[in-house]
Amino acid sequence: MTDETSSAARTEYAYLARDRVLLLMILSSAFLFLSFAMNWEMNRGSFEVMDRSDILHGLGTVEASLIALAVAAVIVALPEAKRSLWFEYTALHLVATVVGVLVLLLVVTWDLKVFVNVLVQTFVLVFFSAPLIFGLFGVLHHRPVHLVISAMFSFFIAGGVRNTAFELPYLLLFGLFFLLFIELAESTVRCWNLLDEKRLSEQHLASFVDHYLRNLAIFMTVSVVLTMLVLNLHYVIGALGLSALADSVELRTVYGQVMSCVVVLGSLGLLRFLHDRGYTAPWMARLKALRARLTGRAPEAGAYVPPAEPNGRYPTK
Amino acid sequence: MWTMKAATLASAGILSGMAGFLLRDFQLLVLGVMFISFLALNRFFRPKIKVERPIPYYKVFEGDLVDLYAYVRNEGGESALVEVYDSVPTQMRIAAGDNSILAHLSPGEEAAMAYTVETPLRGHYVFGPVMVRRRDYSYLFFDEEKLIERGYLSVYPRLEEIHTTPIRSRYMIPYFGTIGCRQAGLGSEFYYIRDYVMGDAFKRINWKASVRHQKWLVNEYEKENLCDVMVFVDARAITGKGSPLRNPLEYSVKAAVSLSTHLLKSRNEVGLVTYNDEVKAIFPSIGERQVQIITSALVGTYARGDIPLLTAVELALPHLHPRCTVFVISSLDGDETLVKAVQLMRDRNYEVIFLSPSLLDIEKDMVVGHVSIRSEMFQQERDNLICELRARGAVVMDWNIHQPLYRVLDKGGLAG
Repeated sequence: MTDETSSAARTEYAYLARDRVLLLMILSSAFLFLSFAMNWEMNRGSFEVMDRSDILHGLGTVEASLIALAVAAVIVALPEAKRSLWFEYTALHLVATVVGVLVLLLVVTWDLKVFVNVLVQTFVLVFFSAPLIFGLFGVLHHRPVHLVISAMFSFFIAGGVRNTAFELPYLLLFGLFFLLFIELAESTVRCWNLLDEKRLSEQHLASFVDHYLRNLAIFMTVSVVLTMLVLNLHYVIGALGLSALADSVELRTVYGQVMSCVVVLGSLGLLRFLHDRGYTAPWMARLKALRARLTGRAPEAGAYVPPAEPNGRYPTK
Repeated sequence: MWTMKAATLASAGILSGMAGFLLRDFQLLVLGVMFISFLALNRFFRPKIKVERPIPYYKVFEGDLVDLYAYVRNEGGESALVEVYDSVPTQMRIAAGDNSILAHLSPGEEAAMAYTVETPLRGHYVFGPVMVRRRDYSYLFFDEEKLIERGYLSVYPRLEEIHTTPIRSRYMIPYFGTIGCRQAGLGSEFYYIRDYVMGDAFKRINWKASVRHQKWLVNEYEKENLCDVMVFVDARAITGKGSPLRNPLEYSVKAAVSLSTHLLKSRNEVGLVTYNDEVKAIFPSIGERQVQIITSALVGTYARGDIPLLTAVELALPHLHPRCTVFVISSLDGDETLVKAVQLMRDRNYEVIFLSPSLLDIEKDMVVGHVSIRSEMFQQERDNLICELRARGAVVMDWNIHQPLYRVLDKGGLAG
């Protein structure tokens, strides 16, 4: 390969890697918005302050989410916007702007009660936009701390309401979007740093992101299926004709669901613990050997073969 | 092993699940279960990685640059994100490249890691083991493995230029060599002029002197023979004082290697004794092989222990050839037995020569500002010791480290 060709290939890989990181960024932002919208949908009208708010009360999911997104976008874009000013924007300017806006608002409303009401509603809007603000800031400016703060706000809002509704698909969808946002946003920041610090070559980074997205899709789907399975274990056991057993251990109750979570996920954790320490290797090898025998293919070179007696029979003891 | 991200996710999942259970909030419970499910399912794999790190050389000189390569190959059936880190000895400096690599390798794919190390300090070094860290795609778990891929490299001290040696022994081996022995005979160095006697070769007649004195005069040359030299190198802990690159031991080793090589190339027999926490002796011998043996022994000499010169001499006495020259390279610091050792060697008719790189000079260079009175007192003590050693019949060359070695050897000491 000549120098020119290799240089062109490198440039192409650089563009490819940058595109992949941007794709991650867009995906994470999209999932952030979706998780926020789902959360709003589930908790709409539950906060006391929302009941007393003229604007927020009765707002639909889409409208509220879009308003929150707009607020978040403005706040996140502010640091970039002040750079385009022709003078240096200092803290004094910021104070003057806030005071000016407040005075303008007071003049426009010309009523102290209305003025306070607008201020409270603005605060609520900004508060509800907090996950979006911090999430977008973290993704766009590559700050993991802001992602954590965003997740904490989401948790707070999700836990701030005692959701009595038992709509598992909605909840699962929210959980999926939330997890996808967290995972993708963290990977975006990590990949950006890898690209920026040139720790991973562009070619390898592009390849990594491709494989990452494929693996993420697989594992997220399996996670959702597993979650559904665990939370609906009594249905699964009932479908096997053991509904009496499920009833006897009270699997339908919240306690039963929690216990099934602990048992199933605990077993998986134990399996992983044993696998990490190599205890499952002989069993995996036996499975591979069995598969090779069933499919008629020769076992891989170096594969574990169970000990056999000289006449070809396996030991009976 | 778990990463911080995995630990955070697990904590968040457990807390969320417990909060959901206690508050009867199904939303939090679902969130918690999803987190834990994702963690529990993530990547059950262990890719096969092969690393090769050949070291192109096994011997280099101080200050040389060594290019190193490592090849990482994914021999497993699925792609993997691997991080490879090669351990470089702390005494070496990475001049270019990086000794770690992060690569995403598809099955069968290979990545190369290249870096250059600078070798400023002599010694025997071990590279490796190579550390391989495998990660899953979400950076939740990783496992580390040490691959036994060690490489060995010896860094030899650079040879100093030497013109002459100050050895003027009266007791030489009766074979023609290059060491003058203060006797008239066969040699290349002019010694004196004497009257012509019957039988002298005509080619030795000094025609100019003969015309001037109106009688036949002939040139007499200094007899040059071979000699046995035993080099003693002081490697006690005190000789390691200073900086890693500038301390009496480093100067001593350089001088010993240069001197031994020079003497051995002139077909003399040279042996070596190093004393630190033990006394190691290499018997006098000749030839290129002896150069290798002595150099290799000196490369692996480190400052430690506190065995004095007298003990080293007493232990080495059985191995010394009769009337050989003993060349001691020592900073003369913290050894109370020096005078006794010289006395012992002189009593047994050994020619004793000291070459002393000054620790005080090194410390003066390292200290910025005014030289203290204490330092001047130490200098005075050192001068007194040198005078006493000279008074006992030893040749002492006080080596100011700012001077090259050949200049010190040319001067050859002031008394003997």
